[in-house]
Amino acid sequence: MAPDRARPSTRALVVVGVVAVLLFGLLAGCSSGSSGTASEAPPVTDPVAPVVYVALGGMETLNADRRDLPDNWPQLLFAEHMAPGGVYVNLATEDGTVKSAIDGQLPAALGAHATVATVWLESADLRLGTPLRVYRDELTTLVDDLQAGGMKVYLLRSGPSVPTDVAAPLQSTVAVVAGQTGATLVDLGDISDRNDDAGQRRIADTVAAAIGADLGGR
Amino acid sequence: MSWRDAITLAVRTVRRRPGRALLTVLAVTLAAALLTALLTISTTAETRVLDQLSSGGPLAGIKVAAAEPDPGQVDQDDAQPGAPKNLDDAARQEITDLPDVREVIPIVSTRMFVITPARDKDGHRIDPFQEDVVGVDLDKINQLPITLTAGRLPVTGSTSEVAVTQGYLERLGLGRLDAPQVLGTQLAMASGQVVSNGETNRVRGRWTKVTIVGVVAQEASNGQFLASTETVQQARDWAAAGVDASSALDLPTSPYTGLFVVARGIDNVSKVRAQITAIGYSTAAPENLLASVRRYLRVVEIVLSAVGIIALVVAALGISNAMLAAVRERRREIGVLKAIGARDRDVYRVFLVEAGTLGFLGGVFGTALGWLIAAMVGRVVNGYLAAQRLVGVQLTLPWMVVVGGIVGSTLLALVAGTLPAVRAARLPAREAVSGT
Repeated sequence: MAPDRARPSTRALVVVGVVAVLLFGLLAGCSSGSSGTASEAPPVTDPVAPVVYVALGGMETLNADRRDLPDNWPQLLFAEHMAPGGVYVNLATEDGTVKSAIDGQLPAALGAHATVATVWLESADLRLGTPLRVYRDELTTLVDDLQAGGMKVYLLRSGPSVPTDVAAPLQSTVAVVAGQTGATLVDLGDISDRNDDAGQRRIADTVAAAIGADLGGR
Repeated sequence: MSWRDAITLAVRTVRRRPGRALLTVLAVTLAAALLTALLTISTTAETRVLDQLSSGGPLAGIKVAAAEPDPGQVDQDDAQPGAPKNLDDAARQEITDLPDVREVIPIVSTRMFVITPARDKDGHRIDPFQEDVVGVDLDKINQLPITLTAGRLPVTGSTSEVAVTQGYLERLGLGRLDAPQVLGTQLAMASGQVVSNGETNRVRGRWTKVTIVGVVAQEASNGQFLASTETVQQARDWAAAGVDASSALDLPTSPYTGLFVVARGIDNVSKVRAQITAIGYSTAAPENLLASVRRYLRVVEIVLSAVGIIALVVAALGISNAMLAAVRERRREIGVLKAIGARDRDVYRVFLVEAGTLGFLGGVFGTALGWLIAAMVGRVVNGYLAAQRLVGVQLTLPWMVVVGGIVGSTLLALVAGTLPAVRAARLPAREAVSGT
């Protein structure tokens, strides 16, 4: 009698065993998917030394005469080409000459421990009639000191708006200083559209083409 | 018939009907497992929360503001601070040196100018705005009143990551469920520095690009952004380096925006608050809330225990039912036992031992299974806590639960088996042999 009864019980045993295994599998599956919110989080990136970019210059860099801050060329450069964690400081002043930049902007750049610098100083020196030799010597000093502070320096110059542009000698001097100091020369071309968003965008793109890789971003 | 014979006979019967025995043991096992798991989980949860209460943590923390205490509000949970007062390293040290203070976590915050690439519902760019950024030591986040609701927390010391609050989502016109939309967004944030050319002052911004990596609920300090101390300190240092910084930009002069003080145990919170008030700073602590939490925890434990006990009672009914069926099926066997000289109490003993054996086995397996289930639940909970950068729980299986689970199951089975055993014992031998 006993063996006959044992058969269905053995089947029941197998069924119960299978159910138990499935139950444990289900529980184990639940426990492995426990990371919750972590899956939707941006990945952790390896920390790298942050890029600190400083923009030295005059009104062309400060753009105090323009209203939309996010559309100014240094801001566009920062927003679109700097890696996260990067720092940008616009040190330009409205009436920035090379001399005033040495006195005010250079110490600030060194104090900020900048790694990349753009220098665009034309209009105020042109307006004040700074002698070309003085302009060249001061610009050389500025670039040398920036480089001594560990910065990669980009010298920006605008191109002639008209063939007889009075700024041409000064613009040529910028190229001479770049050649002497090893700074990278960036030709911005005609900047007569500087006050427009499109002009700012063009300047940003031109500078980005030269400097972009050093900003750590795209 | 000796107890040994009764046990041998009971074991033999169990082995002869393994299916029924297995199902009966399974019923007890599941009930005992449920009771063990519930008790283990509730004990662990209570221990965890009580640990927080007794040894400190976000629940038992005291918020110290960089302000004078308002004498009329010192005993209130969320006291309004009085006049601003610098909270510096000396004050921090003085508070740290208090005998019942376990830890003091500094909080710094600063107002920053923010540009977001997000657009409003009409597709317009959201205007740049100013908002407070709260900086904390992200290694100590588990001790602060900060809860991650989406994404992850910024990496400790990172200057390129921030978390945002619900307030930021609302600024963008987003709801709580839209949190994933902002994750990965890059913001431009600037702190201002007043510079002078001798004639006029102007503000020079130090811009940094940060990525939103998480959404948090935080009560460490006011502000829609949570960042590392380093991020905020760099911004504050930049602002402080300007000329006449505090008056020109209305910046706080206090080195610390606040402190989060963890007392040595919930019972010391009131005392430490009074001592900090005596030092001269405004404090806030959720003392009334904690008292309520303790009461509710006790209720939860009682409810969970009741659920487990109900399960055990149901299992006992199952045992009783199985044993009654066995008596009915084994009338002839009982009759034979009695015919060869077994007394009523011998038959009673056999059935009682059988019930006790089933209960004991169910108790052993059930306690083990319950611990396993609790361990799995603990693993899930620890995974969640780890994602929140919180300390995991250590499951504790009280020995009382182990002993209670096994002994309780056995006793319950014995009680459940008493009625069938009595019926079997009282069965007349002739009637039993004839099977009528």
